[in-house]
This record gives sequence, structure tokens and C-alpha cells, in this order.
Amino acid sequence: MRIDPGSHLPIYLQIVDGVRRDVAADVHRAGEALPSVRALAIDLGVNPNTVQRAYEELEREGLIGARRGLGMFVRADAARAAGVQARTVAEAAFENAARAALASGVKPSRLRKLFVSVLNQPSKGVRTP
Amino acid sequence: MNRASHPVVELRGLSKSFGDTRAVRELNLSIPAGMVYGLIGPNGAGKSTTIKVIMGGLRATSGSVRVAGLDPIADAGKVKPIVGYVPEVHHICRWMRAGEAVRFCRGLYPTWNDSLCDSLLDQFGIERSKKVRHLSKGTLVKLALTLALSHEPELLVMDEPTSGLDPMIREELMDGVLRNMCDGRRTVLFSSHTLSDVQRLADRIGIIGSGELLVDLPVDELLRSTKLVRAVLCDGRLPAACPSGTIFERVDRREWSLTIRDYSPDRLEELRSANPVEHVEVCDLTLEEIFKAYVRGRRATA
Amino acid sequence: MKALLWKDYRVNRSVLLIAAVMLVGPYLAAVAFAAASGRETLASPRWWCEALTNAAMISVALSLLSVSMLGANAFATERADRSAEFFAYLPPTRARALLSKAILALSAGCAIWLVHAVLAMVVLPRLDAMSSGISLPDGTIKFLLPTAVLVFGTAWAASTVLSSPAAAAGLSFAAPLIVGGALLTLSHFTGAPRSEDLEAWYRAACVTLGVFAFILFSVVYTRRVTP
Repeated sequence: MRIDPGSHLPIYLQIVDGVRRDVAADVHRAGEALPSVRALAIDLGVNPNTVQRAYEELEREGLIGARRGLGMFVRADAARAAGVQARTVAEAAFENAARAALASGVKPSRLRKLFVSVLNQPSKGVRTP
Repeated sequence: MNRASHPVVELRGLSKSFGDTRAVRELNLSIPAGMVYGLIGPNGAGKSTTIKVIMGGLRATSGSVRVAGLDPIADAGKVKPIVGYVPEVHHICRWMRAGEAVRFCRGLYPTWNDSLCDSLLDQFGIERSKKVRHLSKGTLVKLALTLALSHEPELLVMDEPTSGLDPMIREELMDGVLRNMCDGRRTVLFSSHTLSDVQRLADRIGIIGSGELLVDLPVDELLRSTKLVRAVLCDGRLPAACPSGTIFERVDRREWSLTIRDYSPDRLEELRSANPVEHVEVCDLTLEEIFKAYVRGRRATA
Repeated sequence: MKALLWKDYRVNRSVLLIAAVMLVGPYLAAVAFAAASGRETLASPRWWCEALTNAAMISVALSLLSVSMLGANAFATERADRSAEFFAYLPPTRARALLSKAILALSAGCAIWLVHAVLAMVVLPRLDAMSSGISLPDGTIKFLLPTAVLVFGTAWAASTVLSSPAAAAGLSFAAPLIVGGALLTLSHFTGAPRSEDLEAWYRAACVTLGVFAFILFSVVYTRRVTP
């Protein structure tokens, strides 16, 4: 996990993304313990309160859960929660892309055409222009 | 006296003048126990002066300073043992060896922790037999931090600790502070030009400009609530009125960019209704960009 | 306190060494001279009396230099190399820091003058009794001890506010000259004090002013905030 302190994104959200990615990549498996707040803070070189916030956010999303006295663990149904989160992130990215396209002058009708053609294609992945 | 109920550092209406120059004006600041507070600002803005007043090295011209509820000058004997200080310029006796400096300080603090001191000296790679005058700049700063941390202070004050140091040593220093002070009970106040360090370590940030505290917010809130608004001006027209909360604004050909604090969609409405703009975009800012906007805004109104 | 005393000793180490050399040097020179001159000289109490008296006068005069250095070095050196700014943020209060310096300087000063006193009041009178004729200028000590008090007090006082030990030492030597000069001028133009009493007045003035400067500026130092 890498933290960019100069980024626009607050550090705690970068940590949230990082943990999510690690769970998706199986670095942390379901049922496994996550590093303690203090250990992760020292490892990343950030204030422990920031890690605390990130863990609280992840807990709210349902990706991780606390086990009394033992710290944070990846939840068994984490995969499902990760999927939900991945979809939310993708939707936000789609919205931003659409806005950016409109801002640079792409006509709404053209945009709609592009969108429909993608939906009608069988799922193949990203098409490079 | 229950120290836990006091903020660890409290400045009320603090002003400090040197002759005709007002270095600090009516500064209000309250740092509770357990907080890491980062103070940023351009050179000469008053950061060092504020820190020296907190440390009892300067007498305030007006207003009050309290450290753990005590006056740092009148009650210096009670305040100094609980504060660790890493100054901007180091004046540790140059004739002393590192080990002698450690033994000297050890005799002055009742709460000195020998094993902590030894582990810090080893961690930082400081040779005990080397004379202070022969230490490199980075090692000297590390020694100063060791002396400041070894008596387990309740408050650590650092004045631009990483200025002029290479990234490796900066990381060592910040790591040392993180490991030994960030436990939720002990407090850190530091000023720095290395904004990435401030963003990583600080819970709360204060931006000082021309002796005044322009901003005093938690880091994330500052980043979240300060936005850059970019608007395209209609042909040949100029902006009429800035929305409230504008820190700094600039017109470049047809683009009008404004940095706005406490951003909300109402501000956009204000902007649109009062000015001839088409096409408005809102962007997030980095801490460096926010800092620059405040400094530039200050200069423009000075 | 031990840490402070150690530090002040180390800061003043060279001054203490020089003071020791200046104290003992003249006597060693006398011994060396005697050894070089031969057996009769070594055995003659009269020769010793004369030689040691001369050595004593030189040693006492040099000790003025020593106490001046001890006083001048107390605070100004640390301010000159800025280590005062390091100490300012350490726990010992200014009063404590001052006490440590005072203990060191005053002990050294007293030790020096104790040696002179022992020589003047014990050794030399014995030798004088064994020989005959040479009278002991104990007036030297009566005159120079108050001068030393003034020199030390002025050097100490100047050191608390200046950043240059040399300047403090310089002022400390000007002080007895000013006091003596002032008394002479006063006596010459107003007739009081009378010339017979001048020396007594001088001694009293030196001691009073020296002690006063020491105490006053010690208090000033304790109240200052900037290093």
C-alpha cells in the first residue's frame, strides 16, 4: 500500500482503497487479521488516527469487522462487500467521465449513442480508441 | 491540579511585537492532549515567534500563553520538565560528546528513560563518543530529537525539524516522533515547510500568515472544504463580485479561478448569479495548493 | 545540580588551569631559581623569605587576572557560542544555573585567596622570624583583596549582560581604576576624604561596589527571559 500525501484524496481514503485492493487481490484473506492501527500507522508513516478512521470506514462498508481484543479482521462475506464497493466506485467513475466528456464539448446525443453501443456489445472489456 | 482538563497549549489573544514590527497578532489557539498539530506558513509569518513564546523563550507583548495550564515563564520550573523541544537552529554545546550531552540532560530531567534513550541513539545511529561539532547536520537533529524524547515529555514542540535534511533522515525523524509520541495521550506541535510530513502526521493544521492564524482545521476537513472553482468568463466580460469565502482569485484570459473556503453549492449559486460566467467546474486541491492560495490571498490584501 | 556543576567546570576548565598556573608558577620559578643557584641559597631562610615575598606579590597580582577571567567567563562565553540558547530550554531555572556558576567561580576565587592568605599569614611570618630585617608587605594583600572583590564583581556583572568575555574582563579592570581615580579626584578637589584615609576608603568602596554588582546583576540575570 502506498500513500501519496500530496494527493487530493485524503490519506484515510487512500488507506481504505488500499485495503480494499489488498482484499480483492487476496493479500488479506477472509478471516485473516489486519495489521493493528499502530503497526499500520508506523509502517505507512501516518498518524494513527488516520488509520483508525480508515478502519472505521471499512467497518462501516462491511469489509472488515472487529473481534474483541484481537483487532480488525477481514469479514467472511468481504468478497460480497468488496464487490458492492467496487460497483459504487465504478459508478462514480462513470459519472465523472460523462461529466468530463460533456465539459469538453461532446454532444449529449453522441454520448448517449456511445453508451448504448457499449451496452449492446457482449462484455469484452475496455476498447482502446 | 488536574492537567487532563486543560488544553496542553492555549494561546489567547497572543500578540508579540519587536519594536514597531508586529510578528504575531491576536493569535488564538487551543491544542488538547493527544493531538498532533501542524503549523505551516511562509517564512517570517510568525511560526518561530509563536513557538518561542510557547516555550517561554520570549515574553508575549499582550495576551496569554498557557502550557498545561501553567505560564511558561513564571512557572518555567514546572513546565520545562514536561516539554521536549527541538529548535530550528541547534546550539547543543559543541565541545560535548554525544554521550556527554545525553548524560548531562539525563541529570536534569527526573523522568529520563535510559532504555528509551539507548534505543533511540542506536536507532538513529548516533556515535556516543563523537563530539557534537563533528556531527553531520542530520545526526545533530537526530540527537536533538533523542534528547527531547528521552524524558517522555507530555508535549513535544518542534520548529521546522526537517529543514535542509535529506528524505531518508526526514523519514527517520518523523518515524521517531510517530513511534514515541503518537499514542493518543501525548501532544505534538510542529512547524514545517515539508507539507507532506504535515499531512501525514498532523491531526489538525494551522496556517499562519503575517502573524495571524488564517486557518485552524482538521486536515481532512481543510482538504474537503476548500475547493478550486474554475469558471469560463463570457466574451469580453470581467468578474463582478467574488462569492463569500474566496481566499484568492485570478483571471487568466477567459478563465477565472477562485479558491474558496467552506465550499458549498450555495457558493456556486452566488458565483453564477453575480457574474457573467458560463461553464463552471469545481476541483479538489492539494495541501500545497491551499497553502499557496492563502499566502497569495494574504499578499493581495496586504 | 551535579550535571550543572560538571558542565560549568568543563566550560571553565581552561580558565581554572590558567589560574592554577598563575597561582603556583611564581613560587615554582623561585624554587627553580634556588635550585640553580646552589646549596647556600637553598638553606638560607632570608633568601627564601625575600624570594617567596616577591613570588607572592607576583602571584597575588596575577590572581586579579584570574578572578577577572572567572567572572567574565561565567555567562558571556555561553552567550558568545550560543550554547546559552540550548540551556535556556532545559529544566534548570535561571536561579539554579546561576547558583552552579557562582559555586564554581567563588570556590575557585576563595581557594586562590586562601593560598595567598596562608602564605602571607603563616609561612612568610615564620620565615621572617627565622631571618631578620625583611619586613613583610602584608599591605599588599590588604590592598589587593578588596580590589579582587571589585574586579570579580564587575566581571561577573558584565558577563551577565554582555556576549563577550573579553569585554567583561576589560570592564573589570577599568573598575578599580575608576574607583581609585574618583576617590583621588574627590580628595584633591574637596579635601574629603583626607589623604591618610584614602586607602581605607578605597578598600571599603571596592568591597561594597564589588558585592553590590555581583548581587544586583545576579538578580537581573535571574529575571531575564531571553538567553
